[in-house]
Amino acid sequence: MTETLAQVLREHAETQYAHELSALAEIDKRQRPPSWKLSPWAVMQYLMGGTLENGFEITPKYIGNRRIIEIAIATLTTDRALLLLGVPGTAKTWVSEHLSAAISLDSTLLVQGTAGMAEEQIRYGWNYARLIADGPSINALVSSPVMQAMRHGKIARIEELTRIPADVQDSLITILSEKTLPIPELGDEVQAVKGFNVIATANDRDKGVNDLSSALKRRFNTVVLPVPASIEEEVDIVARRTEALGRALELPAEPPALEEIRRVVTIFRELRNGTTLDGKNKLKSPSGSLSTAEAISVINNGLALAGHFGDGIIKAEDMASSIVGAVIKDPVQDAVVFREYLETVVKEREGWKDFYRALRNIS
Amino acid sequence: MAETKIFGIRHHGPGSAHSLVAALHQFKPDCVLIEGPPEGNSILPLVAEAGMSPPVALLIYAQDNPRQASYYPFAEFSPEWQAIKYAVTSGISCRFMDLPQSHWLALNTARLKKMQATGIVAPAQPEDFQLRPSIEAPGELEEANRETTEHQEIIDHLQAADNQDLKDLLAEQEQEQILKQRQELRERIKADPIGALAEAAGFSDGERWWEQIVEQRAAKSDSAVDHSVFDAIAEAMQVLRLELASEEDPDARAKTAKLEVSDDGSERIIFDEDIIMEPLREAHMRQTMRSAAKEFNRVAVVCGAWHTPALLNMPPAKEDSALLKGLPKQKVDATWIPWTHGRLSFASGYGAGVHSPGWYQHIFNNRENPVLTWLVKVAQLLRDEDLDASSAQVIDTLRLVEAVSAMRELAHPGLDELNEAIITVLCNGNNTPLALIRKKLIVGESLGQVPENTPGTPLERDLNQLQSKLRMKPEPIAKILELDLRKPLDLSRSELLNRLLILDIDWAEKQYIRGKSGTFHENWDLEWYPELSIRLIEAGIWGRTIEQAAAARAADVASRTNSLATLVDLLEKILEADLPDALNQVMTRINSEAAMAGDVIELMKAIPTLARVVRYGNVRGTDIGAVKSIIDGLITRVLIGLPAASQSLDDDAADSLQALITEVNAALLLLNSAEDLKAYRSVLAKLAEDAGLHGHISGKATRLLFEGRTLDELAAARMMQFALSRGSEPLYAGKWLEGFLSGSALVLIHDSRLWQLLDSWLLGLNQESFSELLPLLRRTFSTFTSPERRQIGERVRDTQPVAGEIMLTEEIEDNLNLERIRPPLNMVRFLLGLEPLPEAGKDGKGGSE
Repeated sequence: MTETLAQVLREHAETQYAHELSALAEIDKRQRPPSWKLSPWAVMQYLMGGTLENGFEITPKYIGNRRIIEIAIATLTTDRALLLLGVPGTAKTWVSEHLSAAISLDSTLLVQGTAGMAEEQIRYGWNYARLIADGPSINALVSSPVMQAMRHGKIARIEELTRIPADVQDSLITILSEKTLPIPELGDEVQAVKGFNVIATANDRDKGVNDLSSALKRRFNTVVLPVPASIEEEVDIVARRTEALGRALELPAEPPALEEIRRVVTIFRELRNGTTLDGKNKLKSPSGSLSTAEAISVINNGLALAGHFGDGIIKAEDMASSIVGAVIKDPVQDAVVFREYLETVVKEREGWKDFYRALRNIS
Repeated sequence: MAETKIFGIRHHGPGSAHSLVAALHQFKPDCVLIEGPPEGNSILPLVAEAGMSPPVALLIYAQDNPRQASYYPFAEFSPEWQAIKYAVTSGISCRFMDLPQSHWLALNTARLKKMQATGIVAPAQPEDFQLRPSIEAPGELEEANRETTEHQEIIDHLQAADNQDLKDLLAEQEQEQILKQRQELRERIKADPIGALAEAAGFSDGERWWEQIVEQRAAKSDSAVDHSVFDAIAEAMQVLRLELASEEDPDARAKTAKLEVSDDGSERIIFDEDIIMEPLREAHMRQTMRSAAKEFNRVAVVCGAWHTPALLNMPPAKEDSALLKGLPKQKVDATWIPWTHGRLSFASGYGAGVHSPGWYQHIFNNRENPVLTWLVKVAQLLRDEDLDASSAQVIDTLRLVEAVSAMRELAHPGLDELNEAIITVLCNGNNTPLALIRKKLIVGESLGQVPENTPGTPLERDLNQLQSKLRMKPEPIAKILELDLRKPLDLSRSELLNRLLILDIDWAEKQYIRGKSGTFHENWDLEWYPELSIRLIEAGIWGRTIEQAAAARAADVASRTNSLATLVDLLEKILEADLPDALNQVMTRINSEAAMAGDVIELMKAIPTLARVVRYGNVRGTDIGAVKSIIDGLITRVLIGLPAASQSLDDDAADSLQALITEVNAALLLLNSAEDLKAYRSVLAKLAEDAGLHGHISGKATRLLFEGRTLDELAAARMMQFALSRGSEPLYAGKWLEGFLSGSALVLIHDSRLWQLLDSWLLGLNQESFSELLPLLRRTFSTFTSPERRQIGERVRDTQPVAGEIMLTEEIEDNLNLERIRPPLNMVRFLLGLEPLPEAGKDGKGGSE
C-alpha cells in the first residue's frame, strides 16, 4: 500500500528493501527454520516495522492488526500452506510479496492465477524442440516456479488462486500434502527441500470464482486480511493513493479535499459494515464488496470528471454516478438497499444535502 | 498461639482453585476464613447438600427492600467455592470474614439519602444491578461536591479566557486525562492484580501465568504441590501495593471524582469506593482472624490476592475496632440462588466477572492437557452443527497453536491463540463459527441448582407481598378472574399476571373475550401448581422484584431474538405488563431489526402495534418520540418495498398481504399523519393500476383508495370496469372483486354505477366461468353482515325481474305453449317470490309489466 506508483519500473521487494533485510539478518540471533533467511521474529519486524536495538529504522510494510501477521508467519513455519483471503485492496499481494522476500529473499517465484490456466504452469512443461531432438530427459523439462521453489526450499506464490480452474487447482494437492512433484514421463520426481511452502491469495467476494475443493482447503491455513479498521486509517489510505494515482494519470483536477474523501469513505464503510458510523442504526449491505480500492476509483473518476468537464474542483455530482455504480451491482436488490440508505441516513445527515440530491437524481 | 496461613487467590481463577485445594489438604486447618459476607455463614452447610450445583450465587438483600441487594456468584472453579466445599465436607469450621453487608447496604442507603437531600441525584434513583454497591461515606460527599463546583469554575474560566489561557487549560485538561487513565489502570490492577501481573509478563490470560508460576515453583521444591506459590503471590502483592501507594496522591484521587450522567438521566458522583471501603473491609477481616485465632489452632484464610499484605501485617487490634465502631446497620437476609455461566461472564455487565467461564471450567477439569482436549471439544461442537472438522485439522490446529505461542514467546498457549488458530485452520478463515463456540463453550450454558430447603428468595417474598396486597391467593384449584381495567386494583392485578407470564410463570392464562365490553375487560384462568415455585426460584436470576425481573427477562429475550414479529409481540406484552424499563430496550431492538428486515411483510406486521403504542401508549410515560421515529422508518421502508413485494404472489400470500395492506392503512389513519397517508396512497395507486399483480391486491388497493376519497366514484367505476372487462381472465376478475368487496358491501348497495357494472359482468359470464367463480363469490359475499346481504338480496329482487321477465316472455311467446308450462313456471315464480303469471287472454300484453 505504500508503493509509489509514479515509478515506472517497479523493483522487487527484496531489492527495494535490501538494506532493511540485511540489517535484520545481522542482528537476528533467534532460531531460523530450515532454509529461512530470517527468524520468524525478524520477519515479523520486517512486516510491521519498528526500531532495532542498534537504532536502525524498519519501515512498516503492513499497517493493521499485528496478530494476523503473527498467525500468517506461524503458519509458514508449520507444514501447512498459507491462504490470504480478503476483498480487493486489502494488501493481500503486498503481504505475500513481502513475506516471501523476507523468508526466502526471493519474491519472484510467482504463478498468476487466471481462468485459462493449464496444469503446466503449476507443475512443469516441456521444451518441445529439445524433447524431439534428445528425447525425454530432465533437460527437456521446463520447470514451473512452484517446482523451483520446491528444489531450493523457497516460498512459491500463487496469486488469485480461486480464479484457477478447479481441476488445475487440485494439482496442488500432491505438492502440498506429499511435498513431492512426480514426473511420470521420466519416472522421476522432485522432492521439496525443507523450507518450501506456498502462499496463495484469493478474493472471497469475487463473482465467478472457483471455490477450493475441501481436499485443497484442508491443506491451507486461511488468514483473512480485514478492511481498514478505522475510518481515519481508511481515509488516510484513500487520500494517499488517490494523490499518487492522480499524479500518475496527470489529471488536471485539484486533489480532493479530505472532507470529500471522508464522505465517500463514510458511505462505503457504512454500507459495507451494515451500520452507521455512530453505531446507532443498522443498515442492509449491498451485494458488492465496496472495498477501499473501489473508493479510490470513485474519487479518481470524480477527479477526471471535474478536471475535464468541470471547474477542476471535485463536487458531489462528480462522484455520485460512480458511487451509485459501485454500490448497485444487483439492479433490483441493491437499488432497494441504496434507496433505503439514502432516505433513512443520507437525507437527515447535516451538511450532506448536496450529496443527497446528487445521489437521488441518479439512482 | 494459633498458626494462621493466608492464601491470596484470584477470584474465579481455576488455577488458584487447584493450588488452594492442594494447599488446604497439606495444611489441614481446623478453621477456614473466606472473603465474603458473614451473613452467609448460616447457609454455608447447604453447599454440601445433594441438590446444590454451581454456578450459584450467594444473595444478601435488605429485608424491608429486596431491591437493595448484593450477589456473590460462585462457579465450581472459584477458589472460594472449593474452600467452602473442603471445609463443609471435612466437617471443620468455615466462616465468611468480609465487612457485613448489613453495614454496606446501610452505608449505601445513608449515602443515597444524603445525595437526594443535596439534590445530586433524583429521589427515585433506580437501584443498580451490581456485585458490590459503590459506597462513599457521607463525609466524602461535600468534598465531591466541592470538586464539581471547581470543575464548573474551570469551564467558566475557559469561556472567559483568551487564547493563551486556553492553551494552558488544554494542557491542564491533558494532565487530567493522564491522571484519569492512571486511575483506571489502578482500578484494573485492584480488581484483578494477578491478571495485571500476567499482562506485565506478556500473558494474555492470568490463568496461564498462574500455571507457569505453579509449575516453576513445583520444579524447585520436592513436593509436586505446595503452598509456596501463595507465599510468592503474597510477596508480589506486597510490592505491588507499595508501588501503587507510593504514586498515590490524594489530590489526584479527588480529581478523578466525576459527575456521571447515566443512561436513565440520573446523575451521581463516581468516586473511588475503596478509599473508604477498603480499610473498613480489611479491618473487619483482621478482626475475624483475631477471634478465630483464639478459638482454633490452624486457621486458613482465603482472600483475594490484593488483600494479602493487609492481612499479613496486623496493626494493633485497637485501631481496627476503632475503625469499625458505630457503623450504621440494616437488617438483611441471605440465600442461595441459581446462577448461570452467562451471568458470570463479562458480557452481562457484571464488573468482577470472567470473560470465559466455560473455558475456565474446562481448564479446571482438564489440567493435564487443556489445549488438546479443548480443540477436540471444539471439533465435536462443529461436527454437531454439520461443519467440517476432521481429526487431521485438529492436529494442524494444535501445531499452529504451538507455533504461534512459540513466536509470541509464550510458555502456554492461551484462549486467544486457540481462537485464532481455530479460525485459521478449522473455520477456513471464517469467524462466524466462533460466535457459536463462544456461546456454547467459552461462556457455556450451564445453569446452577440450589437445594430445596434453601431459604426463600426476594422474588418469592415480593410475590407474596403482592399477592396479599392485591388479594389474590395462590390456589391449586382453577378459577376464573374477571378484571375491569378501569379499576386501579384490577389494573394492578392484570399487570402482575402479565409480568409473571413474561417470566414464564403461567399462574394465569388469559382468555379471549368475545363481544361486549371493549378493551377494558380481561378474563383470566387462575391455577397455582407446585412447579411454579421452582420457576419462581429460577426467575431469581433476573431480579429481586417481580417488576424488575420481568423487565430484565424481557430485555434479555429482546436481545436474543432476531425476529421482528417476536419483538413486536414482546412489545405488546411489555405494554400490558407496564414495564417502562424494558420498553426502551425493546424499541431499540425493533429499530435495528427493522433496518435489517428484508421482508416487507414483517415490517408491515409491526406497524399496527406500533401505531397503537403511539396513539394510546403515552399514558404510561413512554417516550413516544422514539416510537414515532421507528414507525417513520418502518413506513419509509414499506413504501419503498411494497410494490416489489406485491409481485408474483400465490393466492395465500396475496390474501395475507391484502389484509396487511388494510391494517397498515388503518394504522396510518390512526396515526393521522397526512403526509404518510398521502405517500401510502400513491403507492396504493400504483398497485391498483398494475394489471400484472394478483387481482386480490389490486382490488383491495382500489377499494382503500375509494374509501379514502382519492378515487371518486367515476374513477372507481373505471377501475372496476377495467378489471372486469372481457379482456381479463374471469378468475382474475373474481379475485379482484374479492379484494374490492371483502369487508363491507355498503359500497355496492349505495353506488348504482358499481352495482350495474357488477351486474352486467355477472350476466355476461359463460356457464363454465360462472361455476368456476361461484365459490369465490360466495366466499366474498359471506363476509358481509346479514343486513348487508339482505339489502343486496332486495336490490336483486327489485332490479332482476325486469331483465328476467323480458327474456322469459319473449321465449314463451315465440316457442312455447304457455298454457302447458304454466303450472311448473308458476311454481318457479312462487319459489322466487314473484307473482304468478297472468292468465292467458285476460291480459293481452302478457308479461311486459
